[in-house]
Amino acid sequence: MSLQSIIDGLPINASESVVEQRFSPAFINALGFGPDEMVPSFDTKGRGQVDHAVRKNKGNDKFIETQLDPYLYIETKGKNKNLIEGHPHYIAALNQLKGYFEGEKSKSVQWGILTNSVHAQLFRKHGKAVYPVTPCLECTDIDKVVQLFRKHIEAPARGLTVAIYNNKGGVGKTTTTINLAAALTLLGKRVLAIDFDPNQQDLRDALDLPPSEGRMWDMLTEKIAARDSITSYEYEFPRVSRKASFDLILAEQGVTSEDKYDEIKLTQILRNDALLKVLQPLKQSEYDYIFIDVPPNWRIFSQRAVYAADVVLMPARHDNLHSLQNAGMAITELLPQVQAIRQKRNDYGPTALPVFLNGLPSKISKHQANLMHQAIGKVIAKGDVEGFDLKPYFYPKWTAVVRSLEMRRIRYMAHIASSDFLHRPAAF
Amino acid sequence: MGLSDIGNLVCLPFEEIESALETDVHELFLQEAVNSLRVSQRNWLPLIVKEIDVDQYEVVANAFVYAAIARAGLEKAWCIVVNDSDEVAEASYLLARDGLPRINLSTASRKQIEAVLDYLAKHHPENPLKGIQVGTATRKIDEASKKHWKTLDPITRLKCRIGRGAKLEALKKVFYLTPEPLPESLTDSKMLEVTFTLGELQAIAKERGLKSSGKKSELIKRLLETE
Repeated sequence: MSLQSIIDGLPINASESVVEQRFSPAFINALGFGPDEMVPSFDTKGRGQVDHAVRKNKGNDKFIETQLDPYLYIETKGKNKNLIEGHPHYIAALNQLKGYFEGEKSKSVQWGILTNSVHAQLFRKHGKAVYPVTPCLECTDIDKVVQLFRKHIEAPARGLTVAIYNNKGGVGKTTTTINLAAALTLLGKRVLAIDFDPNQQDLRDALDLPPSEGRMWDMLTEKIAARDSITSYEYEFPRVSRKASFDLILAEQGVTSEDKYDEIKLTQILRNDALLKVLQPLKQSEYDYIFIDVPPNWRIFSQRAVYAADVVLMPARHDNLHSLQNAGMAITELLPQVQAIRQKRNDYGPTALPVFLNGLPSKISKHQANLMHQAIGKVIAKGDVEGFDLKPYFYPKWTAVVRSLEMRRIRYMAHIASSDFLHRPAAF
Repeated sequence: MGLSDIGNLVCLPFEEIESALETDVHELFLQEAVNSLRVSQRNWLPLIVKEIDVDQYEVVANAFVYAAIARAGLEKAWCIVVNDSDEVAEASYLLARDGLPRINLSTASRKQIEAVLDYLAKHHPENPLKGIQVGTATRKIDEASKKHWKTLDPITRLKCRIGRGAKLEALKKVFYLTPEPLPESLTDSKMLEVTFTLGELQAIAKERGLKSSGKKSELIKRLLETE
């Protein structure tokens, strides 16, 4: 019986158990997993039981027996639950799935699927970052949906592309970029940092690199491969004979006067996916993380950078109203623009990670804290009016029961600021 | 919105562009255009395209430029991306003189009819309407009650030297029709005589529950008499 006919044969308001019994195993099978490669009601250890976990068998290691190292989680809902994006059922189901991802046994999981046989959506889990890689798709042509999901599941990319962005300058984007790169390098990850602001070249300055290198333009216009435009930043630890290095892509020097970066001409030549295309092979197999330092505006380089990202990380400052407002505006206005175009290709588009407060002093006055929370409250209220729930982005730990105003933050450390002046990542 | 290309000049890979439009420009013009493109390596005259799918475009105007780029073997083409609407496509096609305009004869003005006949009789390379009297034909077509015409055949009954065959075929390339349905009560005998053949009138009579026998003039009288 074909998967499509199974779907067509399900009763109109089929309950979750009916969908799980009749649809899910066939769906999982179509995705390429055999009966002994799937475990129902899988215990994530610590966060409850997910409807199905799957993983390909490795030699004698049969997933149904060992139940080790799950690869993909599937959470099924009944047809009576509405899984259209934005609906309360959808939000609840997604939060449930994200919860399962935090279980102790979920470290190896790389994908999650939400489905009720009417809709299905695929999510990527890269470390702790969870983001959609397809729009919420209708199962009217389930073979196409399966084909699309398999394309992703069978060739997971090694890397996560992160755009570090805030329309407001001076919030510490470049400092964040190089320190994230350095810190992850120390943790054994392969990292690439890209200075996508040819007019300012902050990344180059921050690391005090010589002006000669930088072949960004040739890379973007596909005259050279991305690999050939990469340089390495190496740091030698002074007291230990140890080096750490991460890779960089920098823009050419002497660029502001050149015709090359005339924005009108760039719009004519650089398509929306110019950077995305070029980074694809690097993201697929060369790097664990690709960080793009994005200019503080919404012009062509910023647009191309955000278009190329999986997720967007937005630094803000507790004492800078505009940085907080801009973060909200980026989520309600800018990201949807980019998502709309990427969704034409059955992709999803970049989603925002929670906003973090950069350089937060260890003690701020109650008055100042109140001012900040009031301002954020206004941003969230404005988002509500426009149909967006911004709360999870500012207060990721907020729940109906525990109304936590705790925000992601990086403490101010003199060490980080002075490292800027010394042209090296503080993390090193 | 910087992300949308509409209205912008963009440089696209030629393989992403297709054209359903033909160009019948003489080989002389095409050859010389191709030679010059091979030197400049850039079409300074842009193609007008619309996006039909992700990374897929269709030429809406300047079909000749497309043909020249294809033959010159250029990998990139400079295009202006326009939005996907019929009005835009028609306007661009006409501005580029990519082919004959298409005119709605049911609503055409006298001036429009005259322009078409004049062109086809005197300026079209093949002069398909050679020999007609443009002024007379214009008047007769304009004065005919053509709002009910479903085909251009009635023109052949107007006695303006346009008969079935090449002349009518030439007109069919330019004129199209949006006929109005016949009214309940018929009062214009001339209109009926010109618009319909005997067979068509018989069918109309049957539809109205009338006797369908007799000559054309009898049928017309019968159709007019009823209310």
